[in-house]
Amino acid sequence: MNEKANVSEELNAKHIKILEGLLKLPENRECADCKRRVPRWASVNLGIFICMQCSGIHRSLGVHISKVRSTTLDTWLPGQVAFIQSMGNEKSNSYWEAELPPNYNRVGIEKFIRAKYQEKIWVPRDAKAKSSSTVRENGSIYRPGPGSSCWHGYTKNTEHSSEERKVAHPPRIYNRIITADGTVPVDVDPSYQSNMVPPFSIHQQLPMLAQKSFLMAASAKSGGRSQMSPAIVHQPGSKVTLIPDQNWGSTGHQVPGMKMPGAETICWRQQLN
Amino acid sequence: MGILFTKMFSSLFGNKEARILVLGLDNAGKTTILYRLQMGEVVSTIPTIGFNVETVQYNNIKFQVWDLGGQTSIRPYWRCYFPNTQAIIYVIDSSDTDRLVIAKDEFHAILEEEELRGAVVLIFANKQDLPGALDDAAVTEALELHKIKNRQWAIFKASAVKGEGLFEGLDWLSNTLKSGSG
Repeated sequence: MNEKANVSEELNAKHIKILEGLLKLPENRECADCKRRVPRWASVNLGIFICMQCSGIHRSLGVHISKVRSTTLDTWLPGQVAFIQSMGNEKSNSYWEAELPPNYNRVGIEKFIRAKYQEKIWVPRDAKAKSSSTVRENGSIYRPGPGSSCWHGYTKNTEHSSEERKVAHPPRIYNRIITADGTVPVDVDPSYQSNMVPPFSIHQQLPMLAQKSFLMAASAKSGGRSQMSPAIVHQPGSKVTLIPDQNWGSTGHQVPGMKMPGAETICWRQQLN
Repeated sequence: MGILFTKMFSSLFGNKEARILVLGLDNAGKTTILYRLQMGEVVSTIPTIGFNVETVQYNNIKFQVWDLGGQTSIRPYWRCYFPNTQAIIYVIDSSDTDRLVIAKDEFHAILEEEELRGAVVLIFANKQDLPGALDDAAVTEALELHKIKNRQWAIFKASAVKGEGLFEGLDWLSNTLKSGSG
């Protein structure tokens, strides 16, 4: 069900008011990561307010680590508002930056954000110590989403360092947090949602085997390109057909390193930012 | 007369032009796909508030590609760009399984638009590089693509950051448009 369809205009207005109030709190007046003033974006699963530049970096991490929303342009769910109310930048950073050296240079902000949330290198030491047992625990509670019958468990991804594989346990102070879904977990930390999908889960495609053999046959028959990506093609009045396939596995994502091109982005809602 | 001559000349020498809209929820990867197609590079992006437009020349077709912002409150503005559109590229974050229902609702709302009646649809099941990404078959099911009537469509697995699947999709698009249905 589309939960956002249930957020009435009235409720949305209430949410915006709450978010505006939160953004006026001293702890939320600066971006949780780069400290730039007047953040207007947020990570709804981390419960933090961030600036637009950092929101772009958060988006590149993937939704298994950070789910970015605008505080002015997006519709929020009640659970997301409740969660960011219970968290905020200060509380979140007391966890994610617990071991951060004072006066740390944040000039390379993308590297900093990746180190902070992806590699989790500044989370509390005692949290880091509890590792493999937590991973198994998370693996067992994990439930794939709708239509994902082709997921079959987890294996070690060689692209992740041992540091990354450690999943943090929460400090006690986070035990009574309302989740973005509006439920109260038994034991939760600011990274609880990012732990829902283990970073080294593998995507297997056993149900696709039958299709693949068909695809290979189709490829040979047509003499088409063998390196084509999988595709389902439909033409009106015909049955759905499949065209040649290329199998590439699930691996860690690449760090985007390019500058934004000179394209103009026109801001319709500039006044809101 | 001049326009007619230009059109005849273009069709003779294969310089067809097509207006393409890239749509999808916020953070689906629309801007990254646009610049991957146009520059062949992975760019660092920030949320698009408004649009980006670029020309991509491929297979003798000059694609004018409009990448529109995907935040909730700016989706209603998509319709301003619908007239004279030959194709929609609909981008899905295949790893964002929580929002597939919203992506599906937005998608089917677009297909009901009268102004897009003749547009062909290319779907990119993007972010295949991320853990937990659904494959094309699962995304097809989640988006209920089999409900589409009287329209040519195709779905491709893609990873904009790895550059996989995008040009295969564009191949399909250019062949489909050249065959005259766009």
